[in-house]
Amino acid sequence: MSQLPDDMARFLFLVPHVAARPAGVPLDELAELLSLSSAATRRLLERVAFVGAPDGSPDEMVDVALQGDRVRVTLPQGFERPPRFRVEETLALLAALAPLRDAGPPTLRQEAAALAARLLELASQRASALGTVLTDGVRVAGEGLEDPAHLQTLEVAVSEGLPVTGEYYTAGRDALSARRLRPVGLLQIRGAWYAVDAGGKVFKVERFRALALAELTDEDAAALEASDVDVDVVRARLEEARIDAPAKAWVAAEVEGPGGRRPFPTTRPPALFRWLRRQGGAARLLEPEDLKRSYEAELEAISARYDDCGPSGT
Amino acid sequence: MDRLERLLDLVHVLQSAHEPLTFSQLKDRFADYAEGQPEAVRRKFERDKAELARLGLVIRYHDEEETHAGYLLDVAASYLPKLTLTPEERGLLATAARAALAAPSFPHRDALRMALAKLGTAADADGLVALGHRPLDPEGAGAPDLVERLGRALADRKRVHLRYRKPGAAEVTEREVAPYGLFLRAGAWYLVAHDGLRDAVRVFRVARIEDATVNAKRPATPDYALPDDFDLEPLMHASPLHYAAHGAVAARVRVDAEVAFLAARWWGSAPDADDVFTVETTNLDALVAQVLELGTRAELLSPPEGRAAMRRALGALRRGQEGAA
Repeated sequence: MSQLPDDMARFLFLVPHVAARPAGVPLDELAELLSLSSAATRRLLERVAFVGAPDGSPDEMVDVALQGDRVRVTLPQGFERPPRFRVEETLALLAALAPLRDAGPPTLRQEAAALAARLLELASQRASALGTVLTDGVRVAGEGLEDPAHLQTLEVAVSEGLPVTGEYYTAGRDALSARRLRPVGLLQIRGAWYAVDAGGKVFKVERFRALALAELTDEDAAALEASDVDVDVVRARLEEARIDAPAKAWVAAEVEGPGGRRPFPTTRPPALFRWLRRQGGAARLLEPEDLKRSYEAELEAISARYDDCGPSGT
Repeated sequence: MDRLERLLDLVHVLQSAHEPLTFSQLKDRFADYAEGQPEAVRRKFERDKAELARLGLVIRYHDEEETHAGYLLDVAASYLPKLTLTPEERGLLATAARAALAAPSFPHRDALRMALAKLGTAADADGLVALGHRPLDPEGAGAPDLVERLGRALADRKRVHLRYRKPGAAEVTEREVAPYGLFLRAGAWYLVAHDGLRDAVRVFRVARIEDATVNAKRPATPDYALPDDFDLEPLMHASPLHYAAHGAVAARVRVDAEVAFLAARWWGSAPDADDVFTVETTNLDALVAQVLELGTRAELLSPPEGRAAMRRALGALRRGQEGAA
């Protein structure tokens, strides 16, 4: 495909961008913004060094120069603002906002929708003309299993530094228990929302059976104050499905599936059993022996309910 | 003259002119428009205008007064007005953009980077909310260039020839589709399109598309129109329980009271006094998978064919565990 539209777009962006910075812009920084290598950026600068009136004098040309490692524009010749958003840029902005606009907690959802509408006003005539094709055509689906009231409660808790109390189902232990959290952030990973508490623990929002704001105690305030949790670091850990747990919490399980035999270390045997059940018989648990017996006993127990001709207990 | 240079020169001339320029005046200034057959030269100029329109630059022909008829670049319609984003808006945009830029499968990441630069904002973390779109299985997400190609076809409303492999199928099918929408769900991209083969709207997982060729004929003319009543929302939230595997049945599932709230969110209904849910489905296998997800905490009570499906699924699990699968 021709590089022409991309190079045009880059030129129309770079001239006002660099001209607005009298000290110039480092070549590498500009290259990154233009999604080009430094060498390709140099070539582009050489190609556009003589833009201006074709029959004009040199002082009617856009003056783009590479001085050392900095790019400078001294005569922008009317190229003082970047063009409005192209179709691709509009699509990119709307798609990036879609997880919040389509599946965010209530307040963020409204703010993201308002921002998307504001950005759409800055779209080019062509992108604007596409209207709903762009706003409604590219979407991000949340799992949608969270109780919206719980998301709203957590939003308030995070923004106002308040604790929450609730009943939480821990899938790894297959148990429901009472919890008190001091939420410091919210994460959305692959469409599901999680709350991060001041101690760095993560809670999947859909697994709260009940949730309510609580009174702030001195202990809560101290925990929130002392918290150094970086929500983005937690996001990266969760996104990679990495579990930080002490060595003694791990069970060195081994499974065999279509890819052969492999280790499957786990801290949560019920989660391993659930994974095995999802494989539809294509994987089996090999080690350790006591875990294997537990899994087989569980399968027996479930199967027993279906051995008769009617539902169990009838 | 290099076409890039000619186009940029044309923009410069048409935005700095004090009054509209006739085509004849442009021919005097651009050697490229002065040479060749009049028809060919006119087509060249029209192609240049179309190229500039693709970039968002609007060239208008002014003919209000005969003495000043001609072309000018509409600066207000072409260039970004100055925009001040609030700190909250910047934070929101940064959060959204950071996640998109970090996900290899997210489309138009280069365009996003440039759009942010145009707004003078950066994709820094704001600290309170973070998003992650990276799929657990990167190959299952769909290649970003394919998502971008489909996104462009959707924007231009151009038909696409797909080579698609259905799950579990050995054969690749060839389909002519009209894209209606794209969505990301649980880290994987999906295309919603009218499938000419089935004469119906279908959902295609982008990772299963082996190739997609966009109709290159008459690129500026849409091939189809989106139906007025088309709504992506129900399709992107469609539950596997409603995939058309058989006729509708009302299944009954007993779930432990302690975890019934989870099942209530899956099935969108509340249990009766005996903790029994009634679930409408056209795909009992999907219901069996959900009941198995709850392990010993749920039992599929009816219909009999549902219980038979549970027995089959459990038999497969037990044989698999014995190593006989």
